[in-house]
Amino acid sequence: MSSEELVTKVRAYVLSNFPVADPGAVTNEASLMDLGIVDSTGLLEVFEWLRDEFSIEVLDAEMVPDNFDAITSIAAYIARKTSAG
Amino acid sequence: MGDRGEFFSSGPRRLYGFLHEPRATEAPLAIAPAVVVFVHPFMEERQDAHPFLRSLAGQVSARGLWAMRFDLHGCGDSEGEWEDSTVDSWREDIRAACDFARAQSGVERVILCGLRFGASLAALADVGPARVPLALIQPVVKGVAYSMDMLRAYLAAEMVLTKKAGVTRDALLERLRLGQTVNVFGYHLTAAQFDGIRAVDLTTALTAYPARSLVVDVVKTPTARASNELTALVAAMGSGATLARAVEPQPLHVEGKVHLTRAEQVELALLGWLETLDQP
Repeated sequence: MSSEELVTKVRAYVLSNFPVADPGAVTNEASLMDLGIVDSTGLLEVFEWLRDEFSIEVLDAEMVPDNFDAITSIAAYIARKTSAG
Repeated sequence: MGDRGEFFSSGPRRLYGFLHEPRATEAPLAIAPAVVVFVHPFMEERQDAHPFLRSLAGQVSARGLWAMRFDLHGCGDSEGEWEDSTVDSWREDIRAACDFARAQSGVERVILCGLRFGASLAALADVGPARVPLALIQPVVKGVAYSMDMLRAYLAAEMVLTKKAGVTRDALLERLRLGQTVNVFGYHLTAAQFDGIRAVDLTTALTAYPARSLVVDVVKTPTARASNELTALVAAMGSGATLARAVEPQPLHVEGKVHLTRAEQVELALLGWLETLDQP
């Protein structure tokens, strides 16, 4: 899956699973935590989705905002984890 | 009479329960009188699942059975501090709730229905004198994994709040070992609770379970994989156990895009199973 396709897939997941008042206002680089779209329980849901959809188990050391704070960062994290095989 | 909330005792603890009287406003289930006692899930999940469990209890009473919901010690409207509870005291609370439900309804037959860790506790409650029928909705089968998920919830909350890398689960385990608590969504998890939860293994505890039982695997899409864990649990429980699958796009116990107030496929699974209880 290309990086663009990953971003599209992550964006579709976020917008369909979390409360978003104005999807058009959420850029792919925006902080999902600052916008209040993904909170701590939401983050756990993202981890569950990563496990179900990509067979990715998020390690404790990987639980940093750089990996999960925006649609692009989640997509980049998936790309790294899946290419690491 | 009618639906009513009341306090009752579980040893020294005062718990709040809510009884739904049978209404039979819809076609009554063709089974002998029974009271279905519902056990809620834990922590944030309890709050998010509340409307669903309230609705489920209402559906049971609408089909002619008693239903009772209650709050475990330190949860909801029950008294006490959550951190003073243990797995054993939660099991006592369930037994007390069943005794209260029997006394209030005048019906001896109890059926236990729980969601997530509430289902696990219901399965382990041993409400006697004989083992009671169990309806387990998405039960936590292995406490080891669930307890580590609790610690992960702490890490997630810390990451969202501080926007930086926090401690590891190993560090949290060390805190518990030193007698400190870990704040998981506002609940102060103690070492005793953590150890008790870790020890839960339903596949072992329910092997050859003698009463009829239902396990509901709740999935988000029709094509989702079946839970290997729940399939193995039902196999271990034996021929009296039934595995049902409910497709619910919205999680029952997690706040999502829409706040879930009904889960129709879970209702169908539970009511359909209840209808079979007295069949040979």
